[in-house]
Amino acid sequence: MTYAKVIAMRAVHLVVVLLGVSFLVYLLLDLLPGDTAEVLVASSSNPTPGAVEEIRKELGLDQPFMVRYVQWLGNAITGDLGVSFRTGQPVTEAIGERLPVTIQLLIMAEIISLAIAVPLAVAAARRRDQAFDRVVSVFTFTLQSIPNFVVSLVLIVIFAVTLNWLPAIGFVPLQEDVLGNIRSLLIPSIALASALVPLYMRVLRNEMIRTLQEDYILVARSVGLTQRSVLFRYALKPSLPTLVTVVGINIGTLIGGTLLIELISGLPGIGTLIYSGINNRDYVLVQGLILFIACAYVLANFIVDMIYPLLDPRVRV
Amino acid sequence: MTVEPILEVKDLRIQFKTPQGIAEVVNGVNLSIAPGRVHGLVGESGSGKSVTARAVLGILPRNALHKREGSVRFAGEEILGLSEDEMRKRIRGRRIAMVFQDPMTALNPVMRVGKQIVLPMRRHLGINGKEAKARAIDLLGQVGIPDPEEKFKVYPHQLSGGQRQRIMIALALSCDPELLIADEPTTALDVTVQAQILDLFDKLRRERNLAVLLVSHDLSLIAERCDEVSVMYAGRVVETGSAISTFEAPQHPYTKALEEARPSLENPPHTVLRTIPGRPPQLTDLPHGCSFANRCPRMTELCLDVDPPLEPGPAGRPVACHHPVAGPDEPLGVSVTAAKERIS
Ligand SMILES: Nc1ncnc2c1ncn2[C@@H]1O[C@H](COP(=O)(O)OP(=O)(O)OP(=O)(O)O)[C@@H](O)[C@H]1O
Ligand SMILES: [Mg+2]
Repeated sequence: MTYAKVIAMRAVHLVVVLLGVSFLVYLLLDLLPGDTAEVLVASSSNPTPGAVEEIRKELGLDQPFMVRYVQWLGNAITGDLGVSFRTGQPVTEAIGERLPVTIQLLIMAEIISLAIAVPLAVAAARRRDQAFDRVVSVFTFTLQSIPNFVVSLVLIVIFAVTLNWLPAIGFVPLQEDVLGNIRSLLIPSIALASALVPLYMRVLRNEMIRTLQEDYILVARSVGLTQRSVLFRYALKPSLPTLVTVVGINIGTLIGGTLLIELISGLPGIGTLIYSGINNRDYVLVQGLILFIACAYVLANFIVDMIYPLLDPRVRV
Repeated sequence: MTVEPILEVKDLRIQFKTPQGIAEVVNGVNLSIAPGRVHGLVGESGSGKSVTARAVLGILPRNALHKREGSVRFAGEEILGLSEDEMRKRIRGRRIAMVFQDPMTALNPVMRVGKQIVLPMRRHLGINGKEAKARAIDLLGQVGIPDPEEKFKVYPHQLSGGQRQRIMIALALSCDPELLIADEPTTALDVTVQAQILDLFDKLRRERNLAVLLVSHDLSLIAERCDEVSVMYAGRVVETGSAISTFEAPQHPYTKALEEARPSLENPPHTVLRTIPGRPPQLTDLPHGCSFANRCPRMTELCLDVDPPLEPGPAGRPVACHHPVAGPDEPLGVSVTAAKERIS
């Protein structure tokens, strides 16, 4: 199979998955007790009897489920996720405003995780079963057993409250102040990374140990390459595919973690938006957001899948 | 031999830590190879040929004990005690190179073959990428790869087994070593490709005065291609000397048995081959005396008590045996009942 064909097949797969996801999202929120009309009426100052029915009719909520779903989906495809009835802002616009913060946070968390996990894994694999490897193993197991919001709180207490090196909460936009922007995201992204580092590190360490037993590693040693070359030029690349898979699988968990961490650190991202949406029973907003996150997740995995052929020439044709 | 040997191994001993205890895998290996000569190393599977080969380069498996007895002299210098760093910088790939058995797994599957050849050259010869590339392409031509410029850019999976082994040889030769260790370099290849690869070694040896240590369990191949041969059994060299005389007039009962177990074209069809009865000893629990005693038709009580030293035998070549075979017509079996009873 050629690379193009593989991509095409994956793309078809992607569309099917997205359709399923959108249906589930819509169904789920429809099954919840109460709807937009009730919320609107309950929050208005002088509700009149029959108002609920009236608003339902107005919003098209009296239509059968499938009709409403198809309509919603049709709009969603054209980028129209409806209007938040709390703020009157189109949902797509609200996502657009908040998205850069969350994406930046995710990227920083991944970069920090990989920057720590990869060298650590290589060093541990090289000294496998020796003191260093054992210490790293104990350290990462400990780290993994602490939820990342706890890590975040601890970091805030140490680096923001006590040492006053970093801001405790709040966000500085990138356009305003690059350094300030990075500083404002440092604690939350390290907190997110704390859950990923142990995972990435263990996967890559085991994979490196396997690779280091390959014949071609012996060949690399037999021609006198330095240990560094053997590890990083010869052994690292063939060990990466499994790590890439794990990165992909964990994008979902990472997004989930982001929602909470954003709240703790007061970041104006997707997480805080969802939180306020749920608090306000802003169904349209929540529906749009969940659909968006699901799509982002599926898409991110699609991209991760596309990385494999770049790592292994045998798959790439 | 009047020429100074390029490699001289004396009484080399290597042990491994295993779950069953300490395995004495190499128990006093002696080898001497002169420049421009091909020296064969034969022996059954498990006799310690690969471990010996790897010990010369200092690339033993991780469970090998650090305590290494004996001596490995290369070009007059003792290299057994050299640091990892020295070995990497001055010896491995630079002056001693190795070709491995399985060309399917010996090349990095995710790196272009050209780069694999270029990396050691850049390290050892201090040349830039362009020079290294030109040299690599030239080398690919020399080892018989068609379209060297094209093949420089491909990945291993795009090549046949024979081509990969040629690439492996080009990689080994990239820094112009003085000694090439080839550990069963043709076992994984079909017969015609085998002959081509061996011809290539022959050409290189003549053109570059390269010394070759050719490891194999294929007696015919060794007899045909080697100048000298050393026969290994249970981690020891039990007999050594010129290939022709060793196989024509074997002195050690093991060599003789190997020779008789070898299929030959001269035999009439359907001749039943003699196999050697019994099994090699447990390496974690070697006997006091000769390791071959329990399988040897000439064994006496002396063999069970004293390990025979490697000394010139009746044919003048070194042999480690108390009762060496004197001539080609002497019967192999000299049954000695007292000793037989002791081991049963
Ligand atoms: N890492 C190791 N740990 C323990 N024992 C080992 C190790 N490597 C090799 N051995 C043992 O050492 C002995 C010699 O192995 P070696 O690979 O040198 O044999 P060989 O003569 O090359 O055989 P073959 O013809 O099968 O390649 C074998 O009995 C093997 O089981
Ligand atoms: Mg071997």
